Amino acid sequence: MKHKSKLNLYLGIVILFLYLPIFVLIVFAFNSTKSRTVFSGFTIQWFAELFKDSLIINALFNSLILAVLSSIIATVIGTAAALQILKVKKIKQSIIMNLNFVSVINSEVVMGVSLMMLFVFVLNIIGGELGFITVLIAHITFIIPYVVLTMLPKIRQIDPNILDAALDLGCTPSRAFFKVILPQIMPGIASSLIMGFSLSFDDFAVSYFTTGSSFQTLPVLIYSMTRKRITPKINALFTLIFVLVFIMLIVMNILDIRSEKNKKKKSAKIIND
Amino acid sequence: MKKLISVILFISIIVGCLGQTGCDNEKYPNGEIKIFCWGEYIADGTFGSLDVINEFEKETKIRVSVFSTFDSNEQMYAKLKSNSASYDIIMPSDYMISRLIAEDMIQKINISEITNYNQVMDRCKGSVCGYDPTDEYSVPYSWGTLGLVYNGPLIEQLTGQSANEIVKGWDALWNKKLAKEMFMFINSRDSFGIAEKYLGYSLNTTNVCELKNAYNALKEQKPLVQAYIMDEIFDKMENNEAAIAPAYSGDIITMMNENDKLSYCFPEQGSNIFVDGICIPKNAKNIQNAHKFIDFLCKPNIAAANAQYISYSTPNVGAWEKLDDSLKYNKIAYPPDEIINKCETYMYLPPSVNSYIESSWTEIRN
Amino acid sequence: MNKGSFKFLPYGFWIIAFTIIPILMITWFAFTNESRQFTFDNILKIKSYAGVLVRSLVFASISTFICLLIAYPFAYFMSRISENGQKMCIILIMLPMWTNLLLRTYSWMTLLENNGLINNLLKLIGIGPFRMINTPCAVILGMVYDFLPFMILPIYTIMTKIDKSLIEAGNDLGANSMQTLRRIILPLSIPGVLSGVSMVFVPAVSTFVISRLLGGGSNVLIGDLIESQFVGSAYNPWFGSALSWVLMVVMLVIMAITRKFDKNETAGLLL
Repeated sequence: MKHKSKLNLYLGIVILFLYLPIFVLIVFAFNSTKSRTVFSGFTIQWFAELFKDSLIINALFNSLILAVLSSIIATVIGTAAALQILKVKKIKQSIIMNLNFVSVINSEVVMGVSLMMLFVFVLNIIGGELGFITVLIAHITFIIPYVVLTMLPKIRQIDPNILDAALDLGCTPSRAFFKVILPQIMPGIASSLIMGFSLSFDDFAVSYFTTGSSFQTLPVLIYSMTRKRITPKINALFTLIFVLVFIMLIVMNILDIRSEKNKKKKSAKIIND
Repeated sequence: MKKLISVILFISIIVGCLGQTGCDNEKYPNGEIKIFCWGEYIADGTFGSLDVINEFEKETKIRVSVFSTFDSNEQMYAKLKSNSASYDIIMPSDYMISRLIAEDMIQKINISEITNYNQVMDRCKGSVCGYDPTDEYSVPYSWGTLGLVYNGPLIEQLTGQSANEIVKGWDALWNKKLAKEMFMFINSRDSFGIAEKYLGYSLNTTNVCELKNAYNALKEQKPLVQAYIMDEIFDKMENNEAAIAPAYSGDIITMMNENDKLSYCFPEQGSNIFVDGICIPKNAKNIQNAHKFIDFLCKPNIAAANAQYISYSTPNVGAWEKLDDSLKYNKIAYPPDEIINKCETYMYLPPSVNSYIESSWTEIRN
Repeated sequence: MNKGSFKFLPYGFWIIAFTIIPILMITWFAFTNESRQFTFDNILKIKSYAGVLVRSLVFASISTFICLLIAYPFAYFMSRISENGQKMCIILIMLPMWTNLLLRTYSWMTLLENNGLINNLLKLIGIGPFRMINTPCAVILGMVYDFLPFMILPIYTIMTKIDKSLIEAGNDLGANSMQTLRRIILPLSIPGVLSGVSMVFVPAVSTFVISRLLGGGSNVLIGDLIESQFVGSAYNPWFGSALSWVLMVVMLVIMAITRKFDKNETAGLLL
């Protein structure tokens, strides 16, 4: 028992370390002055002012749209590729996996500046300027490799005989895909979407280089603020996001536990019957 | 699958276009304008100031669709040069205006459209200061001088001497007693300028030997510096994070208003005086609106609101009249002539000197 | 032509257009100058900035190592608590990742400053103040903090995949818990460790925010240098490309070596 509590203590300390700055962030969302270090009184005025600040709300909206679209598109492209990867020859497979590898370890800064150069080059020819579309393309680019890596193990688990059986029984290929394959890889798709969303929503470096004057994401806005002083309105915003995500994760977890219990009950029932 | 992809791409393009254009066309029939200026350089309605951007939108029905900020001239230059964004209004400083003119990156302003141009003091104009010889490319927005801001009690505590004795000129930034209690500019031009003034040279020296000496001085100073910063200085000096730092006059006034331990010193060796102008980049798309915006900023009441907000000195005669007395007669913002005479403006340096300064600066900080 | 090949089309197009071509562009810029002539000048110029590159690699290595030291026992302990406890732990680790990284780093600035929260707290007890902000240690702390979850998750994932019966067999054969850890768990968890190392090392080498916020502008990292060549004060995309190119090559070499030891696609284990 003593050993166990030591173990928990260690877990607790590391988690405390992870939460220290977040705790500071949340506390100062309720500070009555703009100070970052002195807490001079409780207020919720920053939450009220947050919703009046069109700059922040706009940036939030931009980031959300961007995250939704880029995660969906990247998941579709990545899943399509992953479905095909196991069917091709070994050499082709290794070429693709190496390309994927290069994209995963390509650091954010290099990806950002190289895409910026490409975009500026192309835009100088066809006209236009950096903005929503270029950032979207960039985000999709860095999400795709992660989608492929997430999907591959899930797709490997699929028994190819099931698909063959469906086709033999007269299913059209597309019907077979939606009825047989898709349900099996759904968990992978879901986690790709969530991961893509969070990668995109939190990305700063790539957006910073690939955005122009007309489109500002939340992290880019925050960066321009860190140069001087971050307004407590941003603290307020992230306090809200934090609480929201927390509730979401807890609810998901509870649903998870419940469905597992149901499964167990059902299987117990079957055995009893 | 193909259908799915095309549907999603289609949706994304639609949403993207919606997100970009917005639906403000009815409210703003006169188009848009994109502004790129220094951080917190236009009054935004906080602390009881006038919300200038909002006021402009209301009066002219032009939407300010972009309001980006930069914190150094060089950063603004890079953004412009890389062609990655287009703006209608930029606010470079004097030497950068010369550079932008030389590299054909800004366009002529039709001065006759700036009805309030007569409010601008002659002595800030480009033709008088030399940065814009024909006065066709820029309209002065603000001016100021470079000085020292210091935390008196902290200096006394650290050195045991009175702050007045320690802080007289730039040599305070080389004082070993203040080790790790000073900030320095992160940008190369300002830092080299300070070192050059400290050594008694011109700010615009191109003499190889003098540049080398400035380089050595900065290298020698490095162990004493706590951090190389820019706009972070407000927050840090107000929090008593360091004892002394170089800063521009308007910023010093702002900091002193927030923290009464801070004082100002004009360095005895002389310093830099600058003018920030308003310019229109070559690739601007809303030239007409840019003129309207410049004219708007030159209105005495608007210029006064901005000057009051940023604490920098205004080149606008009518605006100066309207300032609060505390700022109007502030010796830091509007110093006497003997101080102005000791100041020098930055000139556009030849590219070879520029790149020497830039690369040796990175090497020093490394 | 395989019937299913069209499924590769979008992927192939995307990777070629937006990963391969940009990399080629970087390479091209790295070896040319303003007048489009072939030159080695940009690459040779890096020599005078070798210190920055070395510092980036050293800082990233140190913080990767510290992350491993913290994360390995964490993942091990975590895999041994109750199932609900494990789920809670995962939530607690994922949650900070939803708060913007810049903001969390900025919060550290508030904590570490001379008159920051930690020093104020220490003052109450009567010790300090300590100089923490604007030092190399602060930068490393920032890196460890920001990237620790990326080390914990893959190691934890692989620990849960270790066959319990192997451990039981070891115990039955008389191995004590130390021996089980060394002989069974450690070797089997290597792929997770390798994937964690690359997930921490890559972003740590190229960060350009942490050093600016916590390092006080004098702990310049390669990421800062690259940024300043493209959108910062030192505008010189040719030299910036050369820096990016060298960074990329160095990373590829390091990662290829790491991957030699790791035959499985472990990056996927994160999920």
